[in-house]
Amino acid sequence: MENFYPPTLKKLIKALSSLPGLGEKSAHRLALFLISKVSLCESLGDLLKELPQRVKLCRICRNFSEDDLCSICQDISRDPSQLCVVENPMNLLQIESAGIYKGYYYVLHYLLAPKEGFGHRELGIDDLIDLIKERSVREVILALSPTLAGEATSSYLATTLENYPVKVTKLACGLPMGMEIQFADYITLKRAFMGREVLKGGSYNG
Amino acid sequence: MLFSLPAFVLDKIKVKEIDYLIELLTPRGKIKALAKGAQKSRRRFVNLLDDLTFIRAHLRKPQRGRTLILEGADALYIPESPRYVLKKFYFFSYVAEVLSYTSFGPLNREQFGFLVEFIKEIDRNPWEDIYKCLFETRWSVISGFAPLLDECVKCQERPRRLFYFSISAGGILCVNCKDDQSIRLSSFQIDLLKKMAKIEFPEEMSELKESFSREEGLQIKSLVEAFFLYHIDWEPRSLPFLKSEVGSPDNG
Ligand SMILES: [Zn+2]
Ligand SMILES: [Zn+2]
Repeated sequence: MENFYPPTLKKLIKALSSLPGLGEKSAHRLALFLISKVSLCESLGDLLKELPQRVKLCRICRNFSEDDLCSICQDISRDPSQLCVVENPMNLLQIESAGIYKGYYYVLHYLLAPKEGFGHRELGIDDLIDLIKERSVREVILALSPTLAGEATSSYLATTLENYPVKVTKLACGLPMGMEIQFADYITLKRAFMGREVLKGGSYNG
Repeated sequence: MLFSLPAFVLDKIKVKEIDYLIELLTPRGKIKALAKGAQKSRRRFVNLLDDLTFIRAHLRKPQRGRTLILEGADALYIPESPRYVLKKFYFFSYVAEVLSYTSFGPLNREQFGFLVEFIKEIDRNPWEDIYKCLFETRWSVISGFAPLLDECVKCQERPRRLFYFSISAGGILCVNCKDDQSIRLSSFQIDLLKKMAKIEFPEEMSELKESFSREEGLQIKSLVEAFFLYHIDWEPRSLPFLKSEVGSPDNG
């Protein structure tokens, strides 16, 4: 049936289906939806054209930005002694919107993925080290997901930063809030035991 | 129909926005199964779908379609050290990649058992460079392309003192059959190759450690790698990273 479609529509379906997570069917549905939405098509077209020119990586933290520096790096009220390393801008946004952290960030964009040809040299750690020196950072907070790749990347970063006068911390890992203990696997439980919180010291406070 | 199998996770590929297609190594050989919703809610599979995690996979044959469904999984062994030691992370990626790429049939009890013990042994002990060599040797035996070491590949003559090894011929050549590409090996080296091919329990490796610290042992390591790559006819992407770390001091 698609053979009877005009060439432009066919090309659009093909282009859309090359997007991650979109199969041929969804691409088809989107394309047909767009046909009747003239103004949406125009504004989408303009945005898509501008996107690569306008949105770049912040010179300092590699977050998305339209300026040379992103809004976070431009904000001088933040605490320069803390630097939080995140995997991607989505994770940065998640931490930002929680409103719990007031230091600066550094975005890796990748985790170690040797099977995809991505090793430690490709992580771009030199820029991170320059930043630590420049800003006289005192604590580097590794906020990578505790997956195998995330933890391997954190360990690599911690080893690399060993010779720099900074404290390196990693987000706590253990039982997720609201989870019942019987559902936790042994790695999670082990971490939870290793990272227990002291509620009261050993001495008797009467 | 529901059934369960012990399995190593070899790979996971995102399917649509929510599912993962998981590649598993089981005693029956390699299988692929769909872990529905595993991208979004990781609760059922948390920590279980990383490379070389050893699980009991609960699988279902769907009524329609051919792809198995991974209904659930229990942890049998979760390697932890690749999370902290870069070399091991690279090595586990390399092993998973090789197992995923090379083709082989069902594994017998000893073969599968060896793999289970091998992974545990590496996870629990400090890294040794011979792990890589041993894996390549054992895997060439299991995949059926192990080098012939007893007699000349070409004339079946049994060399006594002079051994020439030919990667492309797939084993040793005698003095009459040797060609420009064959490499002269000592009987110590031939012996080392034979011993490695016969290792059944990973603990036996420690006996060979000393041999590998000698110059002749080091030569065997690169020979085994070259032989292995030649016969799988492909270079795993994680190999250069592993090689850049192997030989450097431990970071764990
Ligand atoms: Zn920035
Ligand atoms: Zn011969």
